[in-house]
Amino acid sequence: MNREQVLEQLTGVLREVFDNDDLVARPELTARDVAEWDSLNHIRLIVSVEKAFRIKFKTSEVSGFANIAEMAEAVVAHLAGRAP
Amino acid sequence: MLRFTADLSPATRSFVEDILAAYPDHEGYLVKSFRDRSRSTSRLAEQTAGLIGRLHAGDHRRLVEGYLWICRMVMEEELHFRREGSYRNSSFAEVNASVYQNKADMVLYMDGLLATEVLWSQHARCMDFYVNTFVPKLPTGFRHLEIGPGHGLLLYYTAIAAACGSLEAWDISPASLELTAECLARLGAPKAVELRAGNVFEEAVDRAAEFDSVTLSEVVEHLEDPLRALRNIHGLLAADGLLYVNVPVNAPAVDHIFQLKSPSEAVALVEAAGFTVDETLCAPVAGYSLTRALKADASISVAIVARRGPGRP
Ligand SMILES: C[S@@+](CC[C@H](N)C(=O)[O-])C[C@H]1O[C@@H](n2cnc3c(N)ncnc32)[C@H](O)[C@@H]1O
Repeated sequence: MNREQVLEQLTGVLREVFDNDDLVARPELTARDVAEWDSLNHIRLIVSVEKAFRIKFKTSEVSGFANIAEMAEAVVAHLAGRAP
Repeated sequence: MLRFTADLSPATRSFVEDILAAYPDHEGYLVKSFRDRSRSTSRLAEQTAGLIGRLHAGDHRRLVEGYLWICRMVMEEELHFRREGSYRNSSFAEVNASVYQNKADMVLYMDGLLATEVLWSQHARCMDFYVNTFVPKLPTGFRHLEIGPGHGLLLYYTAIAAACGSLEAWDISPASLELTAECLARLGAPKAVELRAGNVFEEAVDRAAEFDSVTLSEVVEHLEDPLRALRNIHGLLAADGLLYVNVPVNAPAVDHIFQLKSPSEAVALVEAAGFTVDETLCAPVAGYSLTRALKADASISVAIVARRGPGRP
């Protein structure tokens, strides 16, 4: 899966987790842009992404993404078997 | 930028600002937590914030440290819970050794929990329900027992009720008992409280019908056999005695070993122990409506007022 495909699927995950159908997984999107994206919901997002792509983030990754682009790149890396 | 704290009452604002100074990323959560609170809940939270100030002579550092500890702990447990669908720990003996008997962590934990009584909407709502719905139902001269008082705030709010006759409390953790004693002494509780170190399962024998009210707040989820504990408590109460239970569902924490999945399971548990449930409050975690919390298995605090005897006709 490439970055664009991952971003597309992330849109569905974001919408489900934050209960907001207007959300789009733009690369530059951050927690600050989404009212529902607080520290607790961040954990739900992480685990929903893990389940959607059948991957498991490392502990260091869980709170380490600056924006959706970084999360998408990590997903691509995990899927390709080259997790950071 | 005008922060949301500008709209808060003075003691609450001073506390929230000290929290945000140490944990700026927490603002989004707190905005939601303070939004849409009822006047009664806001007023009670302001009273609690004032008490917290008095407890530590206006110095919030200890509570800020405890609050950061509890948030970190909850995040770690939440990650495990969301991945696996269950709480990490299931053995009382393990949790007793690693948490209840670990003084340093227990003080951080109970200080942090005290902070949540102001900061987390679900806890502030339950405290409001306790003080303004449960305690006023208790009869003149009531004999009260709290199991697991921890930081001691509920016991303090019970002790200042004009109708209160006598108070007793049991806790498994020596650190909790010290904090309870410190809370009651520093706030100047008007009644003496008999504090006992002990486990609910051992203390609850041979004390039949000795109490008019029992409080069991955030304790059920710490027990291996909560039904047995509730049955024992049923026996401790006088014929028309009242029980207050607060149990969070889907709420992982390092010492939570018994998981309830819905508010109706909590009500059924209390009823299975022989009680009649009179009133229930379901308070979801900040940012969630009850409907959405039920759908997403988000945490919900369930506060229950129940009576030992049959329901009123
Ligand atoms: C989470 S704290 C609750 C504090 C306070 N009641 C509240 O609602 O915020 C749980 C308390 O229950 C105590 N506890 C846990 N298991 C217990 C048991 N089996 N018997 C007596 N106390 C227990 C713990 O030591 C701790 O002080």
